[in-house]
Amino acid sequence: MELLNPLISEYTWANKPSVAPSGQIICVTNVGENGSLCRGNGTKWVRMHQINLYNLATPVALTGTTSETTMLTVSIPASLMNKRGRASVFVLLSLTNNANAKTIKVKVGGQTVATVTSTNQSLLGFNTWLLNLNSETAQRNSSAVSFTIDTTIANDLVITGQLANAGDTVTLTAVSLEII
Amino acid sequence: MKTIAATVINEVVTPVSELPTNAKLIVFNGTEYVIYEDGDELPVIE
Repeated sequence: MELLNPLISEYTWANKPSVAPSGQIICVTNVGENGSLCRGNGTKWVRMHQINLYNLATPVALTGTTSETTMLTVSIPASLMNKRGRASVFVLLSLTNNANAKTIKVKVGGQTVATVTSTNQSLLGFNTWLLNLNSETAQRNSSAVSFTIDTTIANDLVITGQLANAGDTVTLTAVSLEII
Repeated sequence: MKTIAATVINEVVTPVSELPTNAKLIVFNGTEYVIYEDGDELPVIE
């Protein structure tokens, strides 16, 4: 029996057809852990399921400066979130366990969607998210703050770190970015 | 071991090129991003 379904064509997110016939299903090979399925709605291609877009494989450590420093950049493809999508981020850190502040920021499209400050902890995990409000240009985050990020264009999700004492260290040990 | 230089964009220290995703460890040491790969001795991080 033939395993490959010849009715589902494969594309990358960038080269998918500009026309999205209603009901047509395609496989996007370069988004998601092993690709993802999208269905045309007559106008555009819409994700059929949540996608694990990124999972950190390399720990990233920050030390030696008190300046805000980029620790990770992940690109969210244009229109992947769609009107009702949510970018959900889980971050796990190891930190120098002392009273000095260590500040982590999560930014999307240059806007800070989460700020977390840690003291007296050796491990810290937190979740944050950005939800499209039935619009690709209007969002709220997990603290109910409003944003107007244009998700019809590709946006970088950036995680930065900042130390109050340059002798301390903060390390990104795990990051998961899901588009739900 | 490789290094990637840093620059400041909008008051944030930022690598001048994309950080690798297949390294064993990346450390920003206050000056540059140090990329540790297979075979490199990893620093002790406290």
